[in-house]
Amino acid sequence: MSSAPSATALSDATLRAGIDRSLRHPVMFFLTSGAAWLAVSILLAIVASIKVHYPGFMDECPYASYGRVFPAHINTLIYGWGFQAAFGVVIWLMARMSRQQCRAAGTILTAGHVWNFGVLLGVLGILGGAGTGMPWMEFPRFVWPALVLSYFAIVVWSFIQFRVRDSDKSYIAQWYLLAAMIWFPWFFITANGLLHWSTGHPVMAAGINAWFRSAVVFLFFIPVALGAAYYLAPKLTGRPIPSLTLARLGFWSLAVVAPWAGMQKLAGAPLPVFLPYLGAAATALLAVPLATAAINILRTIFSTEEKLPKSPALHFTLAGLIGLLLLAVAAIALNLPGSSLQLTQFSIAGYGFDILAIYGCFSFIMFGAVYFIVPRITCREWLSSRLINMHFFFSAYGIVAIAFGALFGGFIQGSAQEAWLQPWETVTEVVRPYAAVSTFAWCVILFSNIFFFFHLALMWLRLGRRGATPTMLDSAAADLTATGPQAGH
Amino acid sequence: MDPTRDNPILRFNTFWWALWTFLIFAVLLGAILIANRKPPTNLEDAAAVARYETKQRILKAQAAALSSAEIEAAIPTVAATLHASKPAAVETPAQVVPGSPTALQLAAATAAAPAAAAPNGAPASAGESPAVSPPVPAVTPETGGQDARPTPETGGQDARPTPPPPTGSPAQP
Repeated sequence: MSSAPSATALSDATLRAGIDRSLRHPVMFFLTSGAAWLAVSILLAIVASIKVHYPGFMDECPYASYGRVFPAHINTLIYGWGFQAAFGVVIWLMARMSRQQCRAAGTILTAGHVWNFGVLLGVLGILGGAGTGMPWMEFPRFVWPALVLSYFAIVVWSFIQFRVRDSDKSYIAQWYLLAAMIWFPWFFITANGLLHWSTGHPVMAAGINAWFRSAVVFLFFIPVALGAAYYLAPKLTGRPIPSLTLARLGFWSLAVVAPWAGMQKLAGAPLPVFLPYLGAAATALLAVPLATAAINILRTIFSTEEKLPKSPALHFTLAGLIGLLLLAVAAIALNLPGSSLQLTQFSIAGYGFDILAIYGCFSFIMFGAVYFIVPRITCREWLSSRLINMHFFFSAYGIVAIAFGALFGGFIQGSAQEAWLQPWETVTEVVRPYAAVSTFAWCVILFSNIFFFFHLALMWLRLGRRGATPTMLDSAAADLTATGPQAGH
Repeated sequence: MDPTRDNPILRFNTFWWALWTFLIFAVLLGAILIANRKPPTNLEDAAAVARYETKQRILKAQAAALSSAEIEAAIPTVAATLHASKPAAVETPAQVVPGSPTALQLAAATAAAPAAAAPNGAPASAGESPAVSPPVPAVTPETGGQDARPTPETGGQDARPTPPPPTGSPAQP
């Protein structure tokens, strides 16, 4: 009687091990190079942040001017870290949930190198003064076709795996991941095509650019983060998602609302007036899908009556979901026409919102996925719980300081802008303390992420700890046997 | 498990389906752009045509300009040439400081020459100093002088062709 289930379990474990082995190098390549780009991005963020409160810093070097360093920071954060982390997580999750081994690891690796080379050329172009000047699209215009082609070569195999999967059922995580995989080429080709191929009206070009920035966050990063969280939460807690209806509501409301968001950044510009208002309404409405998904996943995590395991993956995912809830609140608070929008439109609050989305939500869930995936594909456990602890707390405190500093400082800055009887100098004066805090916080985050990168690189070299006990955040839990939720590799 | 689900044909079809899913956005975008290509319909569009022409001219002029690297590379050669050349007295001063005694002398000579020629209508003899008008300082828009006049290349709002130099002024270097 017991031989059949054990044979099934053995075959299942063999299949999962085969999938992990087939994706070891592509996934580790994306995650490790993404972590390296993240460190570079944070270093550039420090330089840019210092120049806000100390403008003379490195002013003899034209490559380090604010107009070059800040775009280089944002673009490396998005294309160097964000997309590569997403690639690594997406191809692994799609293969695991479709129960299909990867047969194109070499192609994916090659495309990954092309992507990295494109990002490198783009960053050098920005620092060399050849940036396009369009936020989040500053790479020289020859870069984006290479990114599109390599994107296709990376993710097309996940489509095939989904299509040939064993059963007809699909997981909630797969909805989000598939949607992100399809939405990305839509908005990326559309925005780049319109802005690089056609000579439209410059104000409308700014509108398209604002829409693109919103789409990158809400049509790619957030869906990938939600897909990963919908996978990790049940896996780590051993509990099912409590409400399929809520999951459907969250997914379809995101699909319907998110494409309309973004143009509120141009409120007051000579555009058709409905466009900024539509963007503001859509961005505020995004609170519905974000909060719905976050609550659904948090209910999964807290549905267990046992004490939550001190799993690093769970802690990072939990922090990312809290970041998602804060993002939902910020989406409403920053975008109310007639009240908050005019205070935040030309302030650092927009940067705080972007960082909260990209780092406070997306990156934290990606870190959680990394801590979950890497031990499985390298067959090693993380070397040091202390390094993971440091990564978690430094990142959490740092991002809270940056995001809240920028959001709150943005309101203060906007109020100073509106006080038209005061000299304009006061606007820069009130922001200076927040910029100084931001510089310090980025230094803290850089410190933790450099060690994260080395930790990850050691794991790729298979220098991790041998053993069946997963590395937990507290030393006591590390002594547990492999019966915890993480043991189910 | 359905063994017929995973087969090469299905994988091949899915590959092309996914490729088409990605490319359809580019195809639709291209179709929309082509369908909406139309001549200027209002004043702003008409002005935009001229602006884009000016922009193209500026870009072309900038591309034709010497790069700083080329200038830096040429400096040693020019410096060596200058260093090797011997100083020689200049018979006709190419540049005169406005208001200086030399400028005043030249201006007086210019005024006197027509006055001397007017009574009998005879031209000045070869032995006399030629009628030379005060030279215009060599200030161009490229050198950034305060008197630099906007030209079509510099994109000034009142861009006009640069007028020719006054008669008799020496050629600018």
